[in-house]
Amino acid sequence: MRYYLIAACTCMAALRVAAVPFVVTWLMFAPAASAEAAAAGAAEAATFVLDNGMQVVVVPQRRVPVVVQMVWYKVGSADEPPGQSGIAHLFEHLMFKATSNHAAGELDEAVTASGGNHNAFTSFDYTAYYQQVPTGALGEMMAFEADRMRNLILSDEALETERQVVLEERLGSVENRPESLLSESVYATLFQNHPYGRDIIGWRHEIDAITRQQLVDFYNRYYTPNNAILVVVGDVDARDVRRLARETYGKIPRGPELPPRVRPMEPEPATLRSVKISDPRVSLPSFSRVWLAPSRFSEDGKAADALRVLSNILGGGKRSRLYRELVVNKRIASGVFAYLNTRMRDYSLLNVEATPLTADKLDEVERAVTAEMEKIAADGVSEDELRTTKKVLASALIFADQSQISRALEFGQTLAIGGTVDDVARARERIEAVTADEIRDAAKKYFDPRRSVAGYLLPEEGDKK
Amino acid sequence: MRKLIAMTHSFAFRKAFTCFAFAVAGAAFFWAALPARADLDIVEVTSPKGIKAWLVEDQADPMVSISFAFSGGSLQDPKGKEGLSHLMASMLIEGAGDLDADAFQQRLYETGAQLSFGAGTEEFSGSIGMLADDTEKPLELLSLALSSPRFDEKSLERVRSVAVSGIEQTSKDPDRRGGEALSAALYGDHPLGRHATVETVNSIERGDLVDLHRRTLARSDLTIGVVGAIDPQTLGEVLDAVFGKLPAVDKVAEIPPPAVKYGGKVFERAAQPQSSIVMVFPGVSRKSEDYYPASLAAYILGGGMAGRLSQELREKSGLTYGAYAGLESNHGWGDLSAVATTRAERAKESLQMARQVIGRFAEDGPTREELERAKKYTIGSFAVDNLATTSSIAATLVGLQQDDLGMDYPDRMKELFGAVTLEEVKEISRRLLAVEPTVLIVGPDKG
Repeated sequence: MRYYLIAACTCMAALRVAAVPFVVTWLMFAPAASAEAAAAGAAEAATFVLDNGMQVVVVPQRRVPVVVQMVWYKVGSADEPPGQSGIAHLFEHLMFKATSNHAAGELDEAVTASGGNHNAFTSFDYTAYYQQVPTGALGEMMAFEADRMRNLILSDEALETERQVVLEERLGSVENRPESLLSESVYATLFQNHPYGRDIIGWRHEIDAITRQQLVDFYNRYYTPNNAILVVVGDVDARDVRRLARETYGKIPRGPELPPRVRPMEPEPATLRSVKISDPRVSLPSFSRVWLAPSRFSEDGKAADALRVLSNILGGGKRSRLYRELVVNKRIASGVFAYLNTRMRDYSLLNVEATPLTADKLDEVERAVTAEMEKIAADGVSEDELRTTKKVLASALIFADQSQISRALEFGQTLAIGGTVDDVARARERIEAVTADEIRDAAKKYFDPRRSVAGYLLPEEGDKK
Repeated sequence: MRKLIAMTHSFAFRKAFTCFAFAVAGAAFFWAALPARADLDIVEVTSPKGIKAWLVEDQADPMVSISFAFSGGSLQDPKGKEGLSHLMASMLIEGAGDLDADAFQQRLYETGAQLSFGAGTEEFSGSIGMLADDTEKPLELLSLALSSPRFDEKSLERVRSVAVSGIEQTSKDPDRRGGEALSAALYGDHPLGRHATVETVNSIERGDLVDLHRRTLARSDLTIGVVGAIDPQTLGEVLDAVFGKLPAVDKVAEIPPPAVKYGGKVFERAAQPQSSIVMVFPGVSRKSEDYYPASLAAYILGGGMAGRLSQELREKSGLTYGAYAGLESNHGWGDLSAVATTRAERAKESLQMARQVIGRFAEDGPTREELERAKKYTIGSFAVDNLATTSSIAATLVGLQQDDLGMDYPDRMKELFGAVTLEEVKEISRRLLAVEPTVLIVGPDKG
């Protein structure tokens, strides 16, 4: 199974999220992972805004004396100026360097002295920094995080070393991996106009050319309290967090107002597109397809809910239609999944991926996937399937709620892509409200092959396509 | 069975401490500002039939999570049948009792519960997560799966072909190949040095599964951890219902520790722009009294961003995105490994630099400050790393029992690590790191 890239981290591994696997440098989510994780219980979340415009969300969770702080900036790779791809992620790395108050490494030292861990990640629409620490260290972490929001020292020396580190990261996570090179190219092909077509980590030649001044401008524009969201989940209450937030972030002056995040949107796609890579490290071919779908907060947001339930019925685990048909009944695939990524601001993406049991079954696997999707578009899904899937999704949400990190991720992601705290609370209701008719209609409307790009990962010889 | 990828990831990214200038002036004020409120109470529950489990009861939890482990795992795979334990893990959800695979999986799916089985090297484990008000059906299915799995030929044929396909799929992956070659060089003919192949998996028959099941899934070496909304009395009944039908005594073979060969050189040629370097030194077993100083030594050398390897190779030189060291301690043996990735044309330079860093550490050991910070981190991280979710607490309860650490380990570990002296860390670093390691390089050239 391969995973889709949604973010790049400063450090290897680290973010531990229930049911969320990690592949060295990129923050990846399992297809079946809880997208709208923290729905249930979100009612206990308190939210308020500091005088300088910084939004704060507090979710008490008191099992162990541990707390997670995440600070989310509403800037990601899709906000980068043309020609500066990778600047959001490179900047994220530089946030671990010295500030005018702290030498590089002091934050790391304080986090580890407490027994905690910390990291950061960059995605299309946001960049986030977090620490998970014993409760007593929260105030100190907030002071550090507030400090680097405005007091970072961007030295040439730090930039040049870190540029090399990021290029190493790109080597390891993209250039060394044929499946990542393929995925990068599938996205670049799917998005003909929207900046989601650029890989989050950026193109090598553009990472190479980013200047210190460009980074300074980027920092001054986006790293301000009014462009940030603080999410705290764990052994705390809102009153304490409010006091600490005022004493730290509250002291930072409001930054310049940013224009609305309006990106160039996709034209109605008119062609059939596919991308292939042949590589000596590949021994069995595999097939994937990514579809353009509406985002949760767009006009057609209800279709996104329907597609989310649908993707689960289609390819969410061993009871899904695709798995039972391709792996169990026909025995032509070793694995298959479908998954809707709803963590992006302007679009959702439906991913379907299948690995044939043997190399000669590649075409048959692709045809079988298409046939199952057409069947849903024609006949819809059964009430039984719908009821069971909703129950399974609801249980998964409750299980995911147990993790401080997945709850913090859910609030942060939702708010950073244009949703509200209420939207997190409503995630479960929205799934519950999906009808079989909506699923069929969404499938009819969005399962158009022109809205997708196929990717083929192929062995070097015997190119089967 | 050693895979490079899995191994590289098993080193949790933990950051150490470089300078002693501690935090901010305001920190002391904040530090005391928020008192910790939560606590963790472990009780041992013994069922009417005498099955023991550790329980952390939390009636406010909307779920119940049970983790369990038997002695067993891939080291028990007979020669020529490598992959058997993993196959059994897949086959336990392929039907049991009167339910065929389809009926079993559909019933389980409809409960919304999450059930999984897995084979480690020294254990066969499983876990189930359930909604607190809906535990009856999932537990019935778990009981069936453990005590009367069907191992139907039809399912076996499919599961085996999927496993074979998985092996074929990564057969040209340089990291996978390198990892297997490294295991073979280190462990030779010991079960640790062998791995599943198309041939070994294809040779597995129903009788092999029946035999392994009978030998390993028994009550004698079973550890259980339970967390969530369940009281001790109910748990006692659940334990008997789920595990009570298993045989009393297992027939797990005693596997002696491997005679590890150090000083080897393994090269896996791969036409790719980034090379990986792995160095394997001797380690210590989890039961050894050297475990505590060795674990601190590994952390100081290569735990996280402030580890010596990361400081030299990443922070100062920009040669790598990741350079780490980690201790892997099993029941009877252990390894200490260092790993780095780097652009191929600078692999030689990176290897040399890593060897210098390690050589210096072997000679001089850590500073007093480094040791103090490593202790603070290790002690503080226990709660953050192990007690974050219902299921991770359950897994931790199992681990504590497997390693005979006792219920008071979360407290006692403060003394165990706290009492380690600088001399002890220097001594163990010298002993482990002075040995010429076995080195694996995956990349376009040997460097």
